[in-house]
Amino acid sequence: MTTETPQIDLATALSIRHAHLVRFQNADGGWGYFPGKASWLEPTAYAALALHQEEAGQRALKLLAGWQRPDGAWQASAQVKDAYWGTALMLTLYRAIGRQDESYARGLDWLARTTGAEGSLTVRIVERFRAKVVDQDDSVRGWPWRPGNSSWVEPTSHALVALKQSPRAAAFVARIQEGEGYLMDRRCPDGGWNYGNKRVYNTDMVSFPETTALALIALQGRAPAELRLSLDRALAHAKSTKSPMARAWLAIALKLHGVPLDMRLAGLSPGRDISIAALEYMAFQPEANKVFLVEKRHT
Amino acid sequence: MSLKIDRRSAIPLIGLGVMSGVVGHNMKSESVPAVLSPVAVMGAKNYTTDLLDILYRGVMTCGLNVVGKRVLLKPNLVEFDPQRPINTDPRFVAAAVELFRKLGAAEVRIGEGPGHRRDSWGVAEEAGYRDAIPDFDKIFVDLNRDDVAAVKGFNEPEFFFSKSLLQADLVVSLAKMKTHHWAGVTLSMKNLFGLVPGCVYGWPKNILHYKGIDPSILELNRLFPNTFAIVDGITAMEGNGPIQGTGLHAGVVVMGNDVVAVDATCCRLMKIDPDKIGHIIGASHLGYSAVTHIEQRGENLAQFTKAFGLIKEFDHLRLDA
Repeated sequence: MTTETPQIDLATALSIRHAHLVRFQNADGGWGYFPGKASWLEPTAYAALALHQEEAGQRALKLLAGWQRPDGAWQASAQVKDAYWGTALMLTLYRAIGRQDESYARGLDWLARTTGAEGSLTVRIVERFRAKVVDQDDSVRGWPWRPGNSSWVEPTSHALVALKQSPRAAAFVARIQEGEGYLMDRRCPDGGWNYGNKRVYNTDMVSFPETTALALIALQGRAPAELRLSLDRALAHAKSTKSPMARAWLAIALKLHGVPLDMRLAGLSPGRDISIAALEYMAFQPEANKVFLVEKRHT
Repeated sequence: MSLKIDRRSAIPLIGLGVMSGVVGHNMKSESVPAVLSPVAVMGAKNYTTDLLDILYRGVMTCGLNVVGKRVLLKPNLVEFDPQRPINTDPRFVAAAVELFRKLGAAEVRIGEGPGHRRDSWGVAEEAGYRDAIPDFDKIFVDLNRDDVAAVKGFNEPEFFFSKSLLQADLVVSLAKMKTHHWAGVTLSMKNLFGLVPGCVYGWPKNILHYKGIDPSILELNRLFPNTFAIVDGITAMEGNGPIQGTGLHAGVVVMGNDVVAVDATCCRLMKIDPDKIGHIIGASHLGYSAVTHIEQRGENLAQFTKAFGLIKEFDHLRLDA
């Protein structure tokens, strides 16, 4: 399929994004969500994944290494120190650079033992006395944005990629299966995913493009027949969405699933958003970018 | 955001129990305030009418002075569906930007942190904000991904908010008039959920669900007392709001500096009982909901009143049900 965007020179557009990322790296080695803002793990991880073979990526790694907590999780920024879903992104980054040391192992262990709170005994007892409003199986747990909260599609997708990519994936197979089960349970009737509610008050919810892409990245290795509806939905989203973030994630997901897609960058220059510039840089490389690739089937 | 001592912050004692779950004691009918809360109800047939004039008359009616203030307009920008009036209409937001500039604000910015979608600029693009609002890219701040600073709140020593938000002198809650399948209604008070940064608390901001939706609405309104409410009820939403309800032409704009009074008035316009909405019941430390304590200004409220459709689980919220 071809999306309806003007033809631009890809090499030039990618070069501009590369320069944008290098130019706006903060003095501490990280990136803010937008130029001139304080460094956060999320945009720094995406930029470092895009530039992981370059000096800028190495500087970012030095900063991020200092943000690992004693429990193995990473914190969101120098200021926000709670354990954080972005730990999964750090593990994907470490895997991309071939770092499999004690820090990586502690991060993996934290991620593997972290679950959504909807599976906790306390929450199950409370929910037993409430009317069922949301159609979902709370016994199947994914990953939360923050420990103590419920599971949601995006943190679950990143966690699955990190666990499935790890050399110890076989040891985590039960957790991986449960996480995949969470995603399949939360899939919307249209075949895609939103943040994590498929049906509320007997009304079908609709999927979003970026979360559909993320879930598909996490479900690499599942039988194609299981994902056919979802891939069709992803293609439909790719044709209609105006979000550059969603377009980048969709390009990555569809490439990883081997779905032919002639999607183009929306513009020659990136917007201000650092994460989007990094994702576009990875998504639209002529050669498939492999940082989110899961090579083995684990379930 | 600088704090001022006004009527709302001068009645704080009842609020001490809010986050510990002690909500529901309605003081409003027990004492007569020295000054009633003015609420302006203004008719507006559609979004191509002279919204600037309507907003100007409403704001003036309420006596708001923004000269020299840094104003942050907080629309309800959630996600986009061309078939449903989910968001505060972009033409309405554009008129508000122009109004507050003309009224002498030192700075006017638009800030929002959508609860479901990661790409706030993408949602703004789809919802027509970038086309309808001049200089949108220069004045918009993504509250989900701004630099943050901590305040004490939600029973936690550190609860984070956008620095741009905290630096504002006045927040204007540019809410959409909608039913809500968790909170009953979403108006100017519930609209403040979008102030909570996703980069710290996620998409959705699930921590607010765990702390309780009504207590969280109350806590956000306690933390940001300098809020002026303007509710876009021109095309509203009934039924399974806030996302999957259906559009309803109500043709009304409601505004005032007492967010509780504004939301209670909106409820009455929707034929919903404000005394059955948890976050209004618990808001006696924030403002007044009783008719006897509200000075309704502008146009006759009765001409805009219509029964908003409710999902069956919320039938009990109907006024006089």
